[in-house]
Amino acid sequence: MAHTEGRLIMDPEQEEHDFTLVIDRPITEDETDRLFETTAGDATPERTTQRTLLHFVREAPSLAVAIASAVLDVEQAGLTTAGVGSNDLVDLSEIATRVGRSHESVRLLAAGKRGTGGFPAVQNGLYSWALVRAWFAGYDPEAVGSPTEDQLVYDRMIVAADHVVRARSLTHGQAGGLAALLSA
Amino acid sequence: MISRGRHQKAEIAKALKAVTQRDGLEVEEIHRGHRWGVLRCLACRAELDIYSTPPKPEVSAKLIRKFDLNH
Ligand SMILES: [Zn+2]
Repeated sequence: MAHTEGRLIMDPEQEEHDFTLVIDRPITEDETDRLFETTAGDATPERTTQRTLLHFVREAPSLAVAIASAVLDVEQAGLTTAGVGSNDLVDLSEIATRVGRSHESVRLLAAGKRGTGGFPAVQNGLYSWALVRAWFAGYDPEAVGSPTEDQLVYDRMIVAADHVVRARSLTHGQAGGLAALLSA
Repeated sequence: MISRGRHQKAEIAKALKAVTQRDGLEVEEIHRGHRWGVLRCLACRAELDIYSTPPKPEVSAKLIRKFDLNH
């Protein structure tokens, strides 16, 4: 990634990937600072009384690479990832990109000024992509045809990553011959 | 110099202002380490960290709005 005249220029090989890593306890202030260093600031912690969610937006050639590198960065900070989750919330611009329509077209559909009405509810400018996708499946199935496939791949990869991370935690990184099952 | 009251990144300051219009969320300024402060849910005590110098302020602003949505 390079900065040119104040604009972010992304490597064409790199895409942004959204996902959440789960730590099964609240992390400390020192750990938070170490995490900022090891992840270059692209993990934002959300702490509850029982756990910490690390919200990632990471540039990488694939989701798998993004998640794997994030898990290792988290370990560099002395933390163990307990699970992986997805980020489902999208804004109108993101919806427009995913369904291949203009921002204005999607805005009118969402406002009920065009289309069949009943568009999923918005809160603070954000929609649930799962609900929006289901709505488009009834209104304009082709619009969510290929993005849906991408989304299904994304959903499957998130679940697979969750299992792999749990296996890593169970075996303390010593999966031995089991690791071969993932690429055989 | 530590300036209190407003995050220096405009999109973060704007997002914080928007989500604290309602009751139930509060901002605590910390100004220690990499943290500018936290956004806290008063009901469940969950906290979202807000960095002083996030690499992508627009990502922080989006996470602030998501936090509001989820609490
Ligand atoms: Zn809450």
